[in-house]
Amino acid sequence: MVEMLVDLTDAELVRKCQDNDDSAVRELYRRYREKVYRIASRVVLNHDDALDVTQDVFVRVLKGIGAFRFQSSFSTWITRVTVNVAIDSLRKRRRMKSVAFEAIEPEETDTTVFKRDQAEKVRAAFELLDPEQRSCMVLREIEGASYAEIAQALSCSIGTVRSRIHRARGHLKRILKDMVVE
Amino acid sequence: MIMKISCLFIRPLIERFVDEELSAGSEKMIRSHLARCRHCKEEVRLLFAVRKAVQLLPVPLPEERFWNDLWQGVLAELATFTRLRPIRFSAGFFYRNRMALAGALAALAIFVLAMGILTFGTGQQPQSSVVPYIDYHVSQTDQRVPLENQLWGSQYMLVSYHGQ
Repeated sequence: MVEMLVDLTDAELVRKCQDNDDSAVRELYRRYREKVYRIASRVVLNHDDALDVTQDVFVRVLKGIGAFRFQSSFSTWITRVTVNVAIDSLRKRRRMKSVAFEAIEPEETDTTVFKRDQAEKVRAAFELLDPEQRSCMVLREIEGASYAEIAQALSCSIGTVRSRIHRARGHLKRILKDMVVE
Repeated sequence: MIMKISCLFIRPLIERFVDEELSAGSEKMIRSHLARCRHCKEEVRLLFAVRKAVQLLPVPLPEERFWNDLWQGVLAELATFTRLRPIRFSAGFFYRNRMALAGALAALAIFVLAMGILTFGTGQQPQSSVVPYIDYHVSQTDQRVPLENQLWGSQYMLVSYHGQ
């Protein structure tokens, strides 16, 4: 049964979820949990918050899956929910003035490209971006989404996405340029 | 840094070049420019470095037990929300929700009734005892009586009406 579910497309899986198939719901979670967590953790920049966001995203998605009408792909929909929940979480956290980002323990990075302190600088610069700019950057540079897909996911125009990415890149470019100069 | 004229045309396209959004012809034009221009080449290198830097931001994926705990949390949240399937307006749906539907219909009826009364009234003419008194007094008053006296008289009639 599990093997069969693995072979299903997202749309087929969602239809099964709409028919209250518990194993399909579980498979959907297994399929998307890492993607949701990856996006969330790069937007909220905090491991614990990213886990909370991931849980919240799945609760919202599974609550609303009955009303999902396949007007966009499931992947786009869950990405949109993730980004929105992550941005909301970030705004709440900023209001509460809690610590940000320290909770993430750096994993093994490509040290030939970036030394640890350089990675810290990039990370700090990334943290200074607006949540919306950061979301666009994550979806574009990490998830490889097209501008149209990002615009759909964030419910804004392609021009807005392009401008957010341009500004974010400009900011990070200056940081990287300074590192080269140093 | 001195930019060449050709750079001014190329620069706006560089970001699209990095995003692989250009047509084959434009891409070829950019590549040939990059082969000659070290400033634009540096710009491209920086944009790729930004991408790499963002990709290298550390994201430690949780262990399996975290995923299981997370799933239990999702299930616990969903336990308070039993409706996973879309609403289908079958006979069963109406039977299960008969009390809620009856309440909603009653509320709707009360609302419609209230709006009807507010809009059209009760169908009877408003009974004002004050206005006829004033009309009567004005008609009986000599036209030569100064206006302030007429008004005083009206007030007097009103006071006497309320005070009777």
